[in-house]
Amino acid sequence: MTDEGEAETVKWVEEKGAKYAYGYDRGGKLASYFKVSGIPAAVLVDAKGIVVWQGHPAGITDALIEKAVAGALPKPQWEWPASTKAVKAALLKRQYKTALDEAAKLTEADGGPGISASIRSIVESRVAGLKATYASGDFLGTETSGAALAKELAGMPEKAAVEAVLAELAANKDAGAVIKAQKQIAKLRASELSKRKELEAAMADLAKLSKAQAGNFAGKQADEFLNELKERMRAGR
Amino acid sequence: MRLQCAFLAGLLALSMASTSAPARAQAPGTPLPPVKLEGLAQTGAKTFDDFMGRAVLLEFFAYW
Repeated sequence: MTDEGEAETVKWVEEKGAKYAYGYDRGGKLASYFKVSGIPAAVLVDAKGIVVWQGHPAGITDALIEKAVAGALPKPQWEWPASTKAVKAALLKRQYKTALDEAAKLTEADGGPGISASIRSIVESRVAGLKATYASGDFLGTETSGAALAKELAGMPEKAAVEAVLAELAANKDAGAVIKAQKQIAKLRASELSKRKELEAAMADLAKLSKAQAGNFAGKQADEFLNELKERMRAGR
Repeated sequence: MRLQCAFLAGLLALSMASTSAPARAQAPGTPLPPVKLEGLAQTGAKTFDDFMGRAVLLEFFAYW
């Protein structure tokens, strides 16, 4: 962003009286990741670092926000005392056991008990989230986030619950085909699809996936994306 | 509610001023990738990582 642009932004923020934090997504990398095609656009990330919603800001609901803040740290990290440096570093790496060990060394005045409780809450929420993901039939999400979570919970008893979910997934005879289809859909989503021919080809693939995976999570994902692409075709985007 | 709001402004947002199409659902259910924001203002956060453990609403906007 140019100096001129930054000056304009500051002026805009001051004129509008916006009180929220703001920053610069230079090069538009984040906007590109979320495929933001128009503004205003918003993304809600929950306290566990999971993207839970994306859309027009007017579409956000109290229920979504309440769910997103569940298990959030009681204070933002920049308000923590200097003594919490090791906890912050471990949390950043999602090394929950280390974070808890370091939090246990903190005094009550430094917020140790509250921070420990929040870390435990984050861990519980993440394990519960994984179980819910599996129960929903999102086998690719289970495989991906389960593998990461198992590493992050190294040395913690909660790791066993994660491994149990992954074992159940491995034993599930239907999972392989669903995961394969979900990967195909993810690949299509990652494609540019800027030309009409590309859109039509993707829609044909999705229609096949929808039929083959009818009634499961992959089928639902195929239907959702297919409808999005139909909408794009109608809108000429 | 413990909701932190970070607003993002950038050249890409500005370049999209002529379109009114909403953002397409892209990543719900997936972890947020590493985020690098510059010039964070109106917050005590030095980097986006400082928001970890808090819910964050990201809004892409332009200043026209």
